Amino acid sequence: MDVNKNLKILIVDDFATMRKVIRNLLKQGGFENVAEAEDGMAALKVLKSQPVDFVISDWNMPNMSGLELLKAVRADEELKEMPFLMVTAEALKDNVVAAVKAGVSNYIVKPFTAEVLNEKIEKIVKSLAA
Amino acid sequence: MDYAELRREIDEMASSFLFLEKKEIEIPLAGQFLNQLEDVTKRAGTLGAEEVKRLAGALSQLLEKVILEGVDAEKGYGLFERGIVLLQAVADGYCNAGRYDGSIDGFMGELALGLGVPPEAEPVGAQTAAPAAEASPGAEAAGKDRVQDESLLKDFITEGLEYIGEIELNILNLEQEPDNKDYINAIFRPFHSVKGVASFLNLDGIRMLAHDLETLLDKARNEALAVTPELIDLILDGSDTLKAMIGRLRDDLEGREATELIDTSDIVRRIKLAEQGGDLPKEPKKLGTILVEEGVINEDELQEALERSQIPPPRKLGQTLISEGMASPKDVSRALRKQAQQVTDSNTIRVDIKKLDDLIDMVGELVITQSMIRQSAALQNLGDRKIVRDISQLESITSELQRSSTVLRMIPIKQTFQRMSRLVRDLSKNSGKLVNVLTVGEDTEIDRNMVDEIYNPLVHMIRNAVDHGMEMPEDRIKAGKPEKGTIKLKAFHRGGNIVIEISDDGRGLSREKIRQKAVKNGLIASSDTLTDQEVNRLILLPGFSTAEKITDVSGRGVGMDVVKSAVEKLRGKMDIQSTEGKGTTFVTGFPLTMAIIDGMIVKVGSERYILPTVAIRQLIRPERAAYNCIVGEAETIDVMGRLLPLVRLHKLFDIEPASRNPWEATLVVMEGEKRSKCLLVDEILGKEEVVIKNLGESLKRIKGVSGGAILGDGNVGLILDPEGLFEMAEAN
Repeated sequence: MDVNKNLKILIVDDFATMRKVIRNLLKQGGFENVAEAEDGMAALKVLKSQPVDFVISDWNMPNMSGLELLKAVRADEELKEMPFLMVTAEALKDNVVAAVKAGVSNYIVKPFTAEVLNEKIEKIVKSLAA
Repeated sequence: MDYAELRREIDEMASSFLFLEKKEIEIPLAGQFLNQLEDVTKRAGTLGAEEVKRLAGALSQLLEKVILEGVDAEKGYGLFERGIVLLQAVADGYCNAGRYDGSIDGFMGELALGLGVPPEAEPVGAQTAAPAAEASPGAEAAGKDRVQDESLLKDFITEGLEYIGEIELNILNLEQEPDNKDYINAIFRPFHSVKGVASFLNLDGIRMLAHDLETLLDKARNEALAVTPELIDLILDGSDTLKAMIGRLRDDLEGREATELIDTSDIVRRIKLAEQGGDLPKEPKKLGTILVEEGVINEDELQEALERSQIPPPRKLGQTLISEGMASPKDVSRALRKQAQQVTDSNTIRVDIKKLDDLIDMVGELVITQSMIRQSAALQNLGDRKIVRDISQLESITSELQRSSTVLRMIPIKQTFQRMSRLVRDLSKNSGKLVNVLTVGEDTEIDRNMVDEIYNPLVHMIRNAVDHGMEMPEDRIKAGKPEKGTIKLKAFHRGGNIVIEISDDGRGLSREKIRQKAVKNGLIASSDTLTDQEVNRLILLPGFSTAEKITDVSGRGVGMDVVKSAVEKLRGKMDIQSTEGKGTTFVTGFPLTMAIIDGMIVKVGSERYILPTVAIRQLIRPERAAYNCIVGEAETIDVMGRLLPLVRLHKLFDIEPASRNPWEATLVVMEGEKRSKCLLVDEILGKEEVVIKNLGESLKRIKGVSGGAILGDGNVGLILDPEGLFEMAEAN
């Protein structure tokens, strides 16, 4: 089964260049339906106002961190099933475990390639479909 | 809560495990298991089911390993399967018999082995470390740093520089409040973001430096490292280097001639040292700096010589200076020797301040005991000349010991000045003013315990000087002054005090404006004639500010009155000198130490008290006529034309005095924060330097008493706090 490339993906990161990097990587994997948000707060607003199929979020952001965003999403009746991929700088054990406990779908360590990103997305989407 | 519930939860986990399609525990399920295991561990703990607790804990560790790809997925699956079955069996045992008869040790051993064995899958640590190994750790490799996507690189440069600018601002805040985690976070994040993007763009030099700085800040955030001025300097130096690297990248990209490669090895080494909690080695001073300090050349000459040294063929600074005749070979070689000395200077050891405090405390006790022995009547009656001689010998040794132990805690004011110079630089940069900092008397020493105390008031004066004192460059030129202003920090000792002067060559205080404002605020009447000095001092009064616009530098509602009272709290004095158009000087004097106080011993009835001498204005015995008593309670004394309220110490402390009439007793005119009063005591016994003793937690809140001291004869005297006494008197 192939993953629907028309998936609407929301990129959450405070660093604009980073959002652009991820956007480029997604494009290489064929995902072009992308929205952006600059922190957890902004992401929640987007999630509430438009249909999104997938969230890729950075961990470390001002106002509302990636973990807080994840918790808010999981606590929301409408959003709680949302596929959520957390981007971390290193696999800091405590961070990753905290994200996993909060119900993250998967995590990815910076820097990553388009292939790895693709793999992670497919894995998440497929396990949901199963 | 009972075992059945515990078992139900374990069974639930086992069944979700059973329904897995593939032999792999995926992340969302692992998260669910982790939460359940945590719950199980907690419950097992309260129930005392030791094996369940251990097993659940071990399985959590296994899951964490699986999540972090530290163990092969299939192997992890197998181990977890067996673990959960065993967990069920153990829970069964507890459920039915309240105990488990088998042993879990075999499986635990196997699990430990499974977790410890190097995993076949690539560990996460290696994944991130791999690119680092190839890159040269010192210099940034120019060709390698090039990436295909120029537009991304351009974005990174712009945004990266912006982020680093943010770091600099937040560091100033952190310097004010080193414990504030929000500020540490605000500095941490930009480094982190820069690092993340740099890793994608293959900018290894930048990535590694940002990573090192981030690690350092992470340690500070977790309180593994203290936020010291040295640490702050290091972070600033790090961000400067980072900025230079990004700047170089931009030059490179825009096709400008590539500047020299930026060498990060030194800063990286310093960061590594700091991370290990080691002492931060000061950067050895540059040759030029030493020469400027020695007064051989001045700052401008140095800049000029540095520029000339760059002209090909490049020469060393020393060579340039000698060949241009700006410095003699002797000067240069002396400076070089001094520079070499800094690196090898190890004639000092570091001692915990607590140990020093204890030592100084004990020496204080020794001095008192010694003086008790000397005054002992029994000893004096002995009439043995040798004993008397020996005791006077002991006395001179103890006083020498006291003197040298007090010096132990003294450190040069240099560090404080350096922090202040940095502050001036940063403040002036933000406000667009050009300011030079000049320091004099950096080696003047002050008690270590005073350094932190005086820092805040000084910072406010500096802010005031930069924000209100200094003019904008164009205004300075109009006024016929050099474009670049100067702020001078000067320290010296005067009569047991350290005097710190902060002078600027800015616009000076506008006496006319101050007068107008003071009249408007009702501080003075428009008819009052005031000397220039008195007008200047008006700005020290509460609620005074002549700044027309409020900036984020000063004008945060902290007026000079607050600074003044902070200085006075430290038993210091403050004054202002100013010439309009020429500049302003803030003069502050602080005692060298808070441990000793110069006190006047007074007697009331049979009690003796110590009054801090700094607060005493006058000692008088008034005429009968100077005493006024208005019906009711208010008693006043006419002191040279001023009516001052009379405070009866015997009344405040409920003591039977020797005399109740002011004209038969002694009056101490004391100065509080905003007012003066006359304190009625029986007599003055003398003046003495006493070592201040804390009264302990329980007596800390007693009004009017700030501490205790052991007097020369071994008795305890209470040290009185004038402000507290005034408040007590006013409350009555």
